[in-house]
Amino acid sequence: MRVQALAREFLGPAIVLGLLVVLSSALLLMVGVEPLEVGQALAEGSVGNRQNIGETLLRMIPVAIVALSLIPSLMIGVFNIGAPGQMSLGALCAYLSSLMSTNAPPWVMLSIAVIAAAIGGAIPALFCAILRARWQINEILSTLIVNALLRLFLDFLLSGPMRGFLSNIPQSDALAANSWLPILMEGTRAHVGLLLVFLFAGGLLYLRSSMLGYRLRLFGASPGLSRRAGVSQTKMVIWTMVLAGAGAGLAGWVQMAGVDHRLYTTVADPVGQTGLFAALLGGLHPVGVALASLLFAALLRGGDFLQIGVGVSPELINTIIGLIILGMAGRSVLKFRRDV
Amino acid sequence: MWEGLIEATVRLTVPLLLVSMGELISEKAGVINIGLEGMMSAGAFTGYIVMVTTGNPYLAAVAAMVAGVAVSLIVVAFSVYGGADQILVGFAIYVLVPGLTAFLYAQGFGENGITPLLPMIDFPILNDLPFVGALMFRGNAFYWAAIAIFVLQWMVLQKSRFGLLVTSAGHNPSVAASLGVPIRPVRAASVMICGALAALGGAALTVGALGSFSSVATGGRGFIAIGIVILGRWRSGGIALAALLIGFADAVRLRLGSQLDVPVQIMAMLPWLVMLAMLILGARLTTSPAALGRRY
Repeated sequence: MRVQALAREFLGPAIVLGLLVVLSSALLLMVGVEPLEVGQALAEGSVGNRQNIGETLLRMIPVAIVALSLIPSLMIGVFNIGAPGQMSLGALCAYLSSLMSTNAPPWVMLSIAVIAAAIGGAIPALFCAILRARWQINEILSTLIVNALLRLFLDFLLSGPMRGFLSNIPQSDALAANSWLPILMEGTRAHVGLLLVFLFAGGLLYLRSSMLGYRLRLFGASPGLSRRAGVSQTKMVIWTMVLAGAGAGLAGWVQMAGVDHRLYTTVADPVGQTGLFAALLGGLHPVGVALASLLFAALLRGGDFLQIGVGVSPELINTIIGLIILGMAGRSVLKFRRDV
Repeated sequence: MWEGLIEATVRLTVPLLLVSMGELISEKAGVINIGLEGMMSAGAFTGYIVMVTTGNPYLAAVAAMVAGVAVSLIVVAFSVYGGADQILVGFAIYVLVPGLTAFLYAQGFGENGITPLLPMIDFPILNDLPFVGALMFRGNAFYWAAIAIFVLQWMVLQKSRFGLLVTSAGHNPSVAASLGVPIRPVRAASVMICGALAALGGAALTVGALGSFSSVATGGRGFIAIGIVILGRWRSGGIALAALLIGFADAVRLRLGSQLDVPVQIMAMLPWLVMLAMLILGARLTTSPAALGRRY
């Protein structure tokens, strides 16, 4: 009996995975690329050796931070796609805070940057949250608009007033060394941002079993019932979105202070968007979401590697991610059929 | 200067209007189509490839619409008949299809090159009117197609039996079903029409306006179209006005941006700011289809 239940649980993902491999192989054959070679390159690039594992972890950190911090808002059915914009502003605020001092001890600078990044990410989220809570303005649209605006604003700053010395592309000067995130794994670029991921995952695991987590679930399942139970919709929407925004701001900071050590226009690409999909794929469970982030990070790293190794353009990865999300939607089709 | 501004407004409005009309009928039937961008991208790419290969814009438009319908069948299978979450399926298409077209384009699928500008078709006599002549009675084949489809859609939604079925499927599907409305077929048809129109809008962009394709050709226009449907309050006329407004803001950015002493990035914010302002100002008046996004 248990074996059967287990088999049923794994049947869906197995079918999805099989279809995924078949479809992407067909696509590769269509453009004249050997699928096996691509598979090998993806594996080699993502987990092939210590350095590549480090690169995968490096990409997982911001994706996981965005994804985990989105969980509470997604639990109550708020689709905030504003992570790219919130990351940009978080990174900008953290960068500006780093200009305060170039010789203060690192732990002081890092603490200031954490606060600056969280506030920077929370502000645009708060704006959209108020629009949603007060006037029922669709948050998918408002966050999308704010994303575009913040991207342009950052591009404006980096092309003009903040452009780095002798730089001919829109990017800032390098960050002072006392604001860099320390490396966690010797010989790789994986930095201490990884600890933030564990912190977030742990906090959310605790939240699941707490009263607040119960309220969130109740609200997500039945807004009417929870309103009668005295849960304020306005507060729920605003606080969960602000939390997601602060998380995204931190993700922008780790990307800026941990990877490139300077601010550039596309700091949120492709992390901001991928975070949402990782949260959904992980089924809004902290552990699942962390694993989904790891999967997407491996795909992203593998995609970067593909271009150099096999000469296949990394856009392939978006196709694969799209198929994964579709497969996940398809699993709920199976469930829906059982319900009826 | 005005001539140029009007010409750019029309050119930028046509794709937006086509895509928004597609989203309108889908949302009227109760299916929110976040994957609009993907359908648009499919049309933009297919239309472009066919145009380069054959040089025939009509063939390109038809091929684009076929591609759009093909993508919409995913929504039909998963969301309409399968009961999967509409938002999730929409996001999947939003990532999948633009990723696919960008991949195929980068891998050098089909021939590439700049396609020629389409000839302008004048409406006799009226095109000589000052001001409105250039705005309303002059445009390429996509412009006239958009006008024709606009009138047709308005009549179908307002006056026809099918329009009533669509509205009932989006407003109260259970009651409608008890009165004998085939909800799923009606929703499926609406989503397929949406796919065709969104793809035609994509082709209007690459074949009709740009003459080229790039991975960022659609550039968020699918989402803008969803905004336009909200701004237009789910009415044909409102949507046309909203599309024209966003098209105008985009044209101002394009035409005046180079002449004024304002950084390009600040000018590029204009269409987005207009949309944000409209969303906020119109928030209280919103009347969305009651069963929008609900599975049936």
